[in-house]
Amino acid sequence: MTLGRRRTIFGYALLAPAIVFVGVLIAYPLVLSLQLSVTPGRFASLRSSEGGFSFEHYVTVLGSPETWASLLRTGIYVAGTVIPAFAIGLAVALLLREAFPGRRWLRTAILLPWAVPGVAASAVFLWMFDASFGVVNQILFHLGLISTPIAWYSSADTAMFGVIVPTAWKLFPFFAMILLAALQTIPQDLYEAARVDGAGRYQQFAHVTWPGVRGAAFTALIIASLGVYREFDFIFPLTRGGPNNATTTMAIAIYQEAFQFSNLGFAAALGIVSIAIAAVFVLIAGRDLRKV
Amino acid sequence: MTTKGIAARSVAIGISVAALTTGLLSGCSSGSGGGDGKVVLEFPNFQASEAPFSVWWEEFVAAFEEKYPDVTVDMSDAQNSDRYQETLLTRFAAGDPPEIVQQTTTNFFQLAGAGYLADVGDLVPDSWGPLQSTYEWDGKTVGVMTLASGLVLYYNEQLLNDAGVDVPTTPEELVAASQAIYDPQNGIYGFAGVSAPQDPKLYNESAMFVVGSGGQWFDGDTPNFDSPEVAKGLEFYKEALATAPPGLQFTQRNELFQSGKAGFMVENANFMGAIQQQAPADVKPNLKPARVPFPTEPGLASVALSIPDGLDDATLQAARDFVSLAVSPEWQKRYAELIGAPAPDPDSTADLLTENPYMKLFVELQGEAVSILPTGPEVRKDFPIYRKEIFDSLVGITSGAVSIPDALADLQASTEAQLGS
Amino acid sequence: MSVSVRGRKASVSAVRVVVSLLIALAAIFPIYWMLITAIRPSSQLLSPQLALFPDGSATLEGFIGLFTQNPALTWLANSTLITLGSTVLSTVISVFAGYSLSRFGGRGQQVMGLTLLMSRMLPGSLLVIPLYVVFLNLGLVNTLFALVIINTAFIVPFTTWMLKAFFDGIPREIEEAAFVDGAGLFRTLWTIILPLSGPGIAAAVTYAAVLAWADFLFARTLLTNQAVWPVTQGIASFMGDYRTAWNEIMALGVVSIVPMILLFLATERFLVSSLTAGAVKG
Repeated sequence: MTLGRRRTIFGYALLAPAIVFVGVLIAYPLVLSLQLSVTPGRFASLRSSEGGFSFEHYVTVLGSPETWASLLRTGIYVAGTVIPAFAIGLAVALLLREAFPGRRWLRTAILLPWAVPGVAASAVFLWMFDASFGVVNQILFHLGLISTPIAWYSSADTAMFGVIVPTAWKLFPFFAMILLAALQTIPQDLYEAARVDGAGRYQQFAHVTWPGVRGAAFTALIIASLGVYREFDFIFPLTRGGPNNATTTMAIAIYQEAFQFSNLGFAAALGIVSIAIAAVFVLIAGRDLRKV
Repeated sequence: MTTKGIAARSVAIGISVAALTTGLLSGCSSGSGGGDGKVVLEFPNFQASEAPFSVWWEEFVAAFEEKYPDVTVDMSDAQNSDRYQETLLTRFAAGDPPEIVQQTTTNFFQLAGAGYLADVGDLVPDSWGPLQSTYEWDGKTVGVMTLASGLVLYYNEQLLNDAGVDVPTTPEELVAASQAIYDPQNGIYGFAGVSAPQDPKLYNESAMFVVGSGGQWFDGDTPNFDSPEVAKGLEFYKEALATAPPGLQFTQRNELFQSGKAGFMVENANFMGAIQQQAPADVKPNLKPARVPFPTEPGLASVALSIPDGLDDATLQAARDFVSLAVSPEWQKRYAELIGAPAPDPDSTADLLTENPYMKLFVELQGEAVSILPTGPEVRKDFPIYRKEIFDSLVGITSGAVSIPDALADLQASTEAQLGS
Repeated sequence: MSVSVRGRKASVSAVRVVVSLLIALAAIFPIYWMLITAIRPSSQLLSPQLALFPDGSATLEGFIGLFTQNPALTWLANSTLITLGSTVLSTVISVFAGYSLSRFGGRGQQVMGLTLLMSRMLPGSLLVIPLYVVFLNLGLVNTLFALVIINTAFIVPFTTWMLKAFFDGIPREIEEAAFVDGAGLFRTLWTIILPLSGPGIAAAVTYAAVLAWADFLFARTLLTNQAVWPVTQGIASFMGDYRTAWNEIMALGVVSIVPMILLFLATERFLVSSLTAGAVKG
């Protein structure tokens, strides 16, 4: 066997466990969901004997204004979370790039929200934003900014905000981490050269910093957006998708249809549509990702 | 070292292949039952760690196993929450349901609608009251109620005295009393009603006002939201809820009332037992039950036992024996004794009326109770959907975002469209 | 350097510290609040008064109640076992896979990229029933091993990507030199590359541990028996009870963070530097 041939086999052998492992456990749910999505009936089930094949669920999904409303809300949720988290993450990365006393502790502190289990984070934000006894209202009241308590999670105007804040809180360290790493790969002489050319702080950022982190930034943005897009276990304990659907994103709608209304076929179709939309998003926005 | 590497790789590949093949063979489901000839009844129980229910269940299961030595009951502690609903549905969908299914009525509608439940009609004693009909589906009885109660108004006598009001006997008095007690600066609230979105108790509380006033959300399969009784009931509801903390969840509601910070709340008769167990000693004596201050007494059957369809004969028989024993007069009496509220069996409290000062009231309420749950088959099939729409409306009404006539008109229109009536 | 430039540098540095401090405070505040609520006596919790700092009535009853009335210790043990198992398994698999992608490139890269994206795009709700079916047939429902497997499956795509980037940063000359000396493929990986991979592996381990420790979706799908619950399910179970004991939930929340904090303190410097070593530029 030639060295080249052996290397190829070795390469695949090393990769195989990952692919088989991941493939099975991710492909199987996808296949099953596809099957359910084309099984007609109000209480579609997996019991093969009562099969049937129909696109009725897709028709309902695509024709229902609720679906598009959920999609819009999902868009607001994702954008509202990812953009601020990215901005703060970038600011943090820029701040922490230079050494200063206490930097190590601050870096650890800033990364902590990422390490908090989502369930614990939901619990504490539910408590902090509690309308009557939560500390957020108490502080706002104390500072004289409000005179009546804001019912964060029971008012349609504020519920989305109340859901975005915890998600962004948990997300920004992720961006900070990745952007900080990317920043540290930019050679210092590029900055020297720019300064010699008379570039001010803003121009340095635009022409040296940003090109250096752009790739990592896009990758991180896409991965984070996909993560927020499918986020469920964080929102649900806070609002259950309410009030009045104000925070019903696609992920929540799928859960409701499946587990509260027992509408498994419809839920599966909605899920597949949701994946398709995410895929389109990735294709459009992710041309840079292919370079990875 | 190379050998170690190969070994590690082989293990990893082996696991993956095993997962792959068994995944592909997932057409076959694993059977239940112990291997030593004993029948195992798996029973996830969301009352298993909730005193005083837990006491009854433990006694009951021990007695059952003694009576039927070939059967083991695997009772585990489940949590009654969305997760429980999800778990039940997942297990049924995967073909692996527990042998004894305890469910709330909302779960019940889903499971019955999907055809998952077996006929247990012959196990229900004839003497049981009308609330049992909640668990009929398609002409068969597929559930046996274990918790059925008229709704009770709980009040804090101390707070009422401090505000100089008597126990209300009409809706107007209830609202007036709540407003008199309401003192948010000092953290005291009038009527502790939930307003957290999608909170399950929204249904029970609003239904007290609506059904109490003689209305119903649905008349059979016809939406009834535009009826004057419903509107009147909701007027009272809105005024009462103005004296509650905003965004209250039902667990907070219980805590609030039990710690003496609220004048009134509405719950079923069993909550008295919870008060006995959980309220602090200085508040407990003030917390008392009273008749709901409405012309009609609302009530509901809220928990039931069912048996999944498709069990093998031995297991089915064991499960039926289990249910049979649970509904027997002896155990129903013990239930009333331990819980301090009437069991589904109307005779369960015959000996307890003098012992427990409130039992007489509870028995009366249970006897008069009109179910707050819908009866029309089409509505019941999609009940979770309608319930959610009602919840959304209620939140809009209590926050003042939507006027009552508008909200009801919307509900009427959308439900009529969905029911095709 | 002139005085004014030095002065300006110092003030920029000071601004840096202050702003970082503010952001760090905002990041920590919820965690601080968890702690405060955990030590507050439950009778004081449902009050509209603002109390930012603990006063003399601080009590450990939340923590005590947590451990005496609940199997919190069991939950912690379960979480630890699941996390250890998932971390080890996923790290091993993704070291191999990441190295393979880095050195042998090719079609595998696209497949892995695809699975990375897919694992992120699948809505959790669609996973519940199929995964239950799979593990039911494997006879692994209600076992910690099932969680190890499924957590690994969802961690591997990302850690493989991380490690690939890391390995890309190790010059191939090192292996070439080894090959010239007659070392076999696997031997090279084992004896030469791995010892250099400390930072990369630390990053993968941290990521895997954080994810496995925080998992709730898989746990709630596959573990219905309280005895095998991890901490996340324990926390969630407090939120649906007849009576929410906020100080106990928060106590459990605090307890659930401590291992992660420790892990972070130990490995956070690797997280950044390993991503640096790799071609994070993309």
